[in-house]
Amino acid sequence: MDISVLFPALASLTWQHILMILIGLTLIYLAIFKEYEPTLLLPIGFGTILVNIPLSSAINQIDGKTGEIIEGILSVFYEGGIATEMFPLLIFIAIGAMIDFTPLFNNPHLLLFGAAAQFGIFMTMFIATLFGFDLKEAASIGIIGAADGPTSIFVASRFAPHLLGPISVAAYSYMALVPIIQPPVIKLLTSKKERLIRMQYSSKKVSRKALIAFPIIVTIISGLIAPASLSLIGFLMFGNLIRECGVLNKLSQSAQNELASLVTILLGITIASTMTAERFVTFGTLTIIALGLLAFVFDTFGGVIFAKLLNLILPAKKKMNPMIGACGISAFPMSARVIHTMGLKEDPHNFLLMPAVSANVGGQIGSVVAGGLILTLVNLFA
Amino acid sequence: MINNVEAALEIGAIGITGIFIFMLIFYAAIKLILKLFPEKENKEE
Repeated sequence: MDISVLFPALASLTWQHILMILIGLTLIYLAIFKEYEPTLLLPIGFGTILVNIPLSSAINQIDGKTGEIIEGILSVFYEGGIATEMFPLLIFIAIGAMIDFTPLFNNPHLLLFGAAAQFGIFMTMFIATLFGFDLKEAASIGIIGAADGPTSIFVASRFAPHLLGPISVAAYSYMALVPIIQPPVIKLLTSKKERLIRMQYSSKKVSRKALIAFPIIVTIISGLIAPASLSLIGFLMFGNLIRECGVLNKLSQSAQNELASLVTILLGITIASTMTAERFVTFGTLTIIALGLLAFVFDTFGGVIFAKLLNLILPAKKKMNPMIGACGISAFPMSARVIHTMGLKEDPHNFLLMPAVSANVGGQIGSVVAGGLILTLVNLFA
Repeated sequence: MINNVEAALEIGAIGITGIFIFMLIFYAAIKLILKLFPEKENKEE
């Protein structure tokens, strides 16, 4: 009997499928043994294996005899959770419940770094158009620079669902690689003298009413200025309101733990449903991975240069350590830790952790605002 | 393609300006909130 009849999956196996299975194994290896964003990279890695075994029942297949579509569960998850934007938005509730805005209230001026360090998004978007990507694809690639997985998934699922796999992998991989990506860029842009600058930091207790008012006011302002950003910012702030209101502690804990865990599992394995060999093994994927790295480099550049520019006008006593600018990305608290460690290496008595955390929290807001603006602006131009 | 490149440049310019405007508004909102709802026992460390 013909092998293709006995073992149709084996007979249909191509080098592209094998390559994708190896990529899946690599992601699992990175997640387990290198601990690179394991909560997402492990489900994505396993899912990649799952969907790249030919005729996999995990994704939709066309019945050769009848021509009918046989539904696979990961395709169902995709239609229900990603195409509808439900999974990333649920993750935003969980993230909102995890964010403490107190450091930002103590030093609100550091919020500006959360804007400057989004530079990489727009620079990468521009470069992506030079590589021939259309505006929506370029925006989806640029948003890797948000250093914020759910925002990247949200924007990519709306503008370029066919690129969701490589964009998600790039976003989460580079977030894990922040300790490797940022330090050389920072060192290249700053002098030893600048890295030794000590910063004043005020730490005050913030009233409960203030912390409750913040997510409500931010939602209303964002909605009135850019309604397209409302689902992103609104869900993040809703999660934060649950945390700060003080009467929903059980819900807050559930959002931070059970909701985050459940949706992360589904999100990761569902993203993998887009990582089929036909879609992933292309030159475009390599370009996206390279552009994603550029986005993180330009983010760091934007934050550091903005701090240096501020130092030109600030009085000597209020000068900023330009390394803090690099914390304006959303990778929290990874980026703040990296800068704190770099500061200690330069001067063991220079503690930059608190201002770094403030800027990093600013980055969490900045990335979501950037996502909302991209959604609004690209729709106007495309 | 040229249109896409030009549009990306325009979006970049408007986008980065827009984020700064948002952040400045949030900065003002934080200052206002802190005035409206001060912590009664403010202790500076």
